[in-house]
Amino acid sequence: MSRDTQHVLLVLVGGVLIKIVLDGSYLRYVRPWSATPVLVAGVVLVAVAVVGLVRDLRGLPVGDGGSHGEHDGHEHDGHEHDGHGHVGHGHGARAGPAAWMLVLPVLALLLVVPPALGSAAVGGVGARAAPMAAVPDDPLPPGEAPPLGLLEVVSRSAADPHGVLTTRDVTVRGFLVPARTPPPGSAPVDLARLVITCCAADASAVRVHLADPGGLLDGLGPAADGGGGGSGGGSGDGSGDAGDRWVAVRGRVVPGTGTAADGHVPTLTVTSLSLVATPDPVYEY
Amino acid sequence: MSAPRPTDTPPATWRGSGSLVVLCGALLAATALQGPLVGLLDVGVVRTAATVFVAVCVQALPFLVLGTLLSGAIAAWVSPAVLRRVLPTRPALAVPVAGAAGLVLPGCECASVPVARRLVAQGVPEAAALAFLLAAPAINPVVLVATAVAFPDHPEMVLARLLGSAATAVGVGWLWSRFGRAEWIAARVRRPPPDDGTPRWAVFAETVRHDVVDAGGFLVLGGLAAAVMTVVVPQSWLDGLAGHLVLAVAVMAVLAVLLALCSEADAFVAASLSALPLLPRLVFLVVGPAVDVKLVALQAGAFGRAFAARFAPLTFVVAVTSALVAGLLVLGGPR
Repeated sequence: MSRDTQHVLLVLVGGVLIKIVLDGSYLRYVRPWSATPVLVAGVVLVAVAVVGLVRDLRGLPVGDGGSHGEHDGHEHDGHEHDGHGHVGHGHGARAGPAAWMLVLPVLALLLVVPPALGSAAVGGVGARAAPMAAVPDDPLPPGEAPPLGLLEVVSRSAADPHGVLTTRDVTVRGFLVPARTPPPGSAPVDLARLVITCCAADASAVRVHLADPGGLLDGLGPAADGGGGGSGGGSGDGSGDAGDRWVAVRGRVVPGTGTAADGHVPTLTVTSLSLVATPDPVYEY
Repeated sequence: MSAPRPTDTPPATWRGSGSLVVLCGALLAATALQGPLVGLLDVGVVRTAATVFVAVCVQALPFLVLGTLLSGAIAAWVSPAVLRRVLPTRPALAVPVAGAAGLVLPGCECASVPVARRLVAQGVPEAAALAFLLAAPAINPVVLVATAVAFPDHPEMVLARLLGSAATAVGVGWLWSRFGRAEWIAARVRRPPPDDGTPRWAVFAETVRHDVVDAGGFLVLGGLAAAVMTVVVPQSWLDGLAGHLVLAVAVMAVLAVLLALCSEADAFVAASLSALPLLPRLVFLVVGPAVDVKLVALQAGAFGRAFAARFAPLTFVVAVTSALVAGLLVLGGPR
C-alpha cells in the first residue's frame, strides 16, 4: 500500500470516528465517556495524514526515499530495504497487506452503521447475566412509579427480595424477548435490557419475568426475530433498534423473587404498559 | 489520473497509484452494493457480529492511537542512551523494572504493543520490552479498580490478579531472556528512527502514521476474529462447568483468548459467571490481557509472525500456571 493510499485511508478512518461521535451513533458501540477519546483519536488520525500529505507534496524526505515510483504499486514488503545508501530507514513508506483491513470498519461505519445490539444478542455467550451492581442505599426517587433501570431492579431484588420494590410501583423500560424458564403464571415474554461495561463486545443481558394478570401483554410478542434466531422477517430497518419491541412497564416486584434460586430474575407484576421508542442511549451501564 | 509516471526522481505529483485505485474501487463497489450489505444484517447472528466487530474497533482505536503517540514520542525524543541509563543492564533486573513500569501506564493491550515495539527499536532488551508489553494492560490502576468493583465480596481477587499478572509478565520476560532468540523478532523492528536532520516533530508524525497503519490493520483483523467468536462460541460451553474444576479452568482460559475482551471490562464478565468457582475466573482474568486473538494479531504485525507463533503459546502456558499458583496462594484453593 503506497503512502498516498495510507494517507487517504487514515483520513477515512479518522473521519468515520469523528462522524459517529458527532451524529451520536457511537453510543451503539461504546459508553458515553468514550466520546472524547474516540473524537481525539479521529482528529489525531486526520492530522497525521495531513502532515504526511503536506510533507510529501513539498517533497520533503520521509526516511525511505527509495521506494517511490519504483515499485509500481506492488506489495512486496517494500520497506525492507537494507539501509544502504539512504539515511535512516526506520519508517517504511509502504505498509503490508494487513493494512487493507482498515477498510472494513470504514465501510461498516460509512455504509452500514450496524445497529445497537438487541434481542438477537440475548442468545449467545451474551446470555450470561450481568453482574449485580452495587445496590444504592438511597430510597427510590420520589413520585408515582418512578423510572428505574432494569439492572437496578435486578440488583435491588437480589439485595433484598422483600424490599421497597415489592411495595411500590416503578416504571422499567426494556425490550421483549421470549421468556426463559418463566415461573408458572407469568407471561411468555421477559423484559430485557443489555448492559455494557466497556464496549458492545462485553454486553450482557439483564431480564425480569412479567406476571400479567390483566392480560396487557396479549398480542405483544417479542421482536420478529428475537432470541438469536436467524429467521429474520421485516426487521431490517437497521436504524438502531434492530426491530426490537420496546415497552415501558409499570409494575411491582413479586416478593421473594430475584434471588439466587431463580437465577436473579425477579418477576414483575404488570399494572400498565406502553410501547415506547428505543431509548437513547440504548444500553444500561 | 493519467499523469505520466516519472521514471527518475519522483516529483511530488503522483505516486503509488495502484493501491489508491484499488481503494477507490473498493469504496465504489461497496457503495454500489450497499443494499445487499445492509440486507445481510437481517440475520440476527450477522447483525450481532457486525456490531461487536465495529464496537471492538471503535473501542480499541483510541487506545491504539494513544499507544502510537507514545511510540512516536519515544522515537522522536527519547534516545536509546537515555533508556539504557534508566534500565538496569542485567536482563534479570531489567525485566521486573520494565514490568513495574506497566503499573503506571493505564492502557489496554492495544496501546502497549506499539510502545513495546518502539522500546525494542530503541535498544531496550527484548525481554524487558516484552515484560512491559504483558504488564501494562494487566496491572494498572484502572484495571485493578475495575476488578475491585466487579468483585465487591471478594477483594482478594484484586491481589490474586495482580500477583498472577505480574508473575506472568516477569516469568515470560525471564524465559525470553534465557531462551529467546533475536532472529525470531522481525529485523525491521530494530531499525532506529532516522537521524538525518528531519525535524523531531516530523519524526513523531511519521512514526505515528506508520504505526497506526501497520498495527491498525492487525487490530481490525483481531476484532473480526473476536466478533466471530462471540457469536460462534455456544453458550453451552459454560453450562455444567461448575462441578468440573479442571475443565472449567481450561474452558475459561480458552474463552479468554477467543473473546478478546478489553482488560477494563473482563472483570465484570468474570464476575457475572457466578456459577463458577473463583479460580477459573481468575485464570480468565490473568490470561485475557496477556494473550487473546486481537493481541496475537497485533503482535504478529508488530514483531512478525515467527515471533507471535512462539510468544503466544509461551504466554498462554505461563499465564495459566501463574494464575493457578496465585489462586492457590491468595484464594487458598479453588473457592
